Amino acid sequence: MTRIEAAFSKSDAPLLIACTVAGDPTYELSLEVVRAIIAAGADILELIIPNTNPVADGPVIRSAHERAIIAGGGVETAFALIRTIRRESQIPISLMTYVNPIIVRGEEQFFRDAADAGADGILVVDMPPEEGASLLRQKRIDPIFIIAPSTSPDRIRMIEALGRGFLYLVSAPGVTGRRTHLPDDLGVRVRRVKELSHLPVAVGFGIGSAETADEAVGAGADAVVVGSAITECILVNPVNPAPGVAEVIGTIRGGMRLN
Amino acid sequence: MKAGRFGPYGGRYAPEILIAALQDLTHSYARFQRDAAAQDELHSLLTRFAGRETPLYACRNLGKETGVTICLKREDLLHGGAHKINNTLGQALLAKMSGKRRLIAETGAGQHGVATAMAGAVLGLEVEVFMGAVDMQRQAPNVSRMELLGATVTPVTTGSATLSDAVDEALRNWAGSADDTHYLIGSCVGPDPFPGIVRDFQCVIGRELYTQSLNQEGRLPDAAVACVGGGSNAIGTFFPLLDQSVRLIGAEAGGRGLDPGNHGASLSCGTAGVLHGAFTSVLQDDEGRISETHSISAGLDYPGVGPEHAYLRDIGRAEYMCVSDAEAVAAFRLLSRTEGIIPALESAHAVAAALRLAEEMDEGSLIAVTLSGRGDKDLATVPGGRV
Repeated sequence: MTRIEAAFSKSDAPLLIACTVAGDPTYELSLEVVRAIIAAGADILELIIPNTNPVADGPVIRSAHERAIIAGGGVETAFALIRTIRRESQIPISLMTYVNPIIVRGEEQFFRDAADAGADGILVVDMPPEEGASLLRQKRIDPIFIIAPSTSPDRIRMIEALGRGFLYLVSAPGVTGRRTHLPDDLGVRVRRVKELSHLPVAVGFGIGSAETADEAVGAGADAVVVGSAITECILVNPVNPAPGVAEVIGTIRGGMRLN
Repeated sequence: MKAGRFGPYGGRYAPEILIAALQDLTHSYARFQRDAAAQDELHSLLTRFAGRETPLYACRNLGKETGVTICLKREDLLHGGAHKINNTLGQALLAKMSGKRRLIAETGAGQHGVATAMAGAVLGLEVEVFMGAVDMQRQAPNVSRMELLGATVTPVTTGSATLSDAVDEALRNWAGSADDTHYLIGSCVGPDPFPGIVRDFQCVIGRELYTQSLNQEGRLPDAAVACVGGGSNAIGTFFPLLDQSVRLIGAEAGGRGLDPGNHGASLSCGTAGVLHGAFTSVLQDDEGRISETHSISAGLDYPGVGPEHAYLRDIGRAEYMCVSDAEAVAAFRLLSRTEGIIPALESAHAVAAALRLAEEMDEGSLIAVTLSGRGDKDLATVPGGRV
């Protein structure tokens, strides 16, 4: 059982997945952000490998990619960050990346190195299962897949059979970024996925407030993913982002408990 | 070959949020290909609206000193001034028949944006074009044309604010709008099925070239030359000639020099990677970060290339050479003066490559150059007047 699977199986309450771009705004400050995330009690850490063409990300996360790239961030710094955290914490770590760094490193090599560094799961934004044979062969790392609003029931069945850890359900069409409210049909979609799947369902995209966290949990989410709201703390206070990050985690957790 | 692959290249490396749209597109394109009425309508638009067929013109002066005949496939004479309309009319008709009401597009030089705006206007589809802020500046006349044609031009300021960033932004927009919107991609790039669709719509260039060369010159050319940014005019020229004994030569942006960041020569200098949904040859570093690029021509200023070109390179069926900014500008001026034809800076790369080839080929050889667009848009970049 990976740390991710263990986290879901031992908790009755929904989990909080906190997401940040590795190396934003610098390696050192990113480490502080991650430490703040862990100290504030997030259940799962999702680390994003900075990318030059983040086509699924909205303006906030996009700016994080840009800052991290300018600071020299990439695959090596993300792995170094994971190794450092692993010496301090057993928090489950899910790695999120676009596919190109994997292809360039060599697929098997990349997954081996990620597992060696201490990652427990990996979500490749632009590698659907059809292109992910190498990922599906991995034993030490959970392949995590996205379910979109447009993903058909047949496809949900195919994906859930191949995925492990959890399914990442995208709350609404579009890119990452905070929203005032989640769509009304979210509950229907979460239920549909749960009927078709044995995996826990994490809801992401658009959650950055107590209200939206509450809506996600109310819709039946087994976990909520918060990303852009954390990155905004770095935007607002690039020199000392940690206190803001802790506050965001606290706010989201508060919202999750409203139910 | 696996569906959607060109040898090892191509594929559908797209976020899950776009997969249903890409599957729908694959099905609707298959229907479109079988639909005789749709094919007739496309043919009618291409002939009566866009101005096909385009002439194959044997240059009277260019390259004369080498004893080699250089023919120009005059895509610059098409409506809108470039080959782009072949693809936009095809895809816009496909989108309309699939029930879409809106088109989005990326554009570099602005030619694809203009051609999309024209297709949208004539077929009654709303158009939004994403364009790098840097490109909007260097191709300002095309921005005005798009707006006049009723399109919204949205500036993209991320990254280097050029073509690659515009593709990123179009993909992001499509992720939230695919229900009623078709992403009318402008080159043979992107996730499957785009590279094949764009190639099919551009193959009209090579098919006409084939017939015209036989009719006018009594034979096929010894070499066919086209510029390669994403590579749509080149693949449209090459594909119908693949089984013939014709050398196929692509001219890439050599820019200011072949050190990283100074060129757009993805095939000559790139390594294997995924950009914008396809496995292809990419300008990048050893961790897969995409490089900045440079070309004097906005249309060639792109760090990737259509996956089919990477395949044709690997199997040795096509050759790709680098043409520098300076060579392209020289060819731009030379063709204007010798033939009375102002080529797009993109196409001037192909003219320069043809002139280089003519030097080394036997006397009496025949070279066909696809002149993909006209150069009026480039007068701000390369000042006119006598030099």
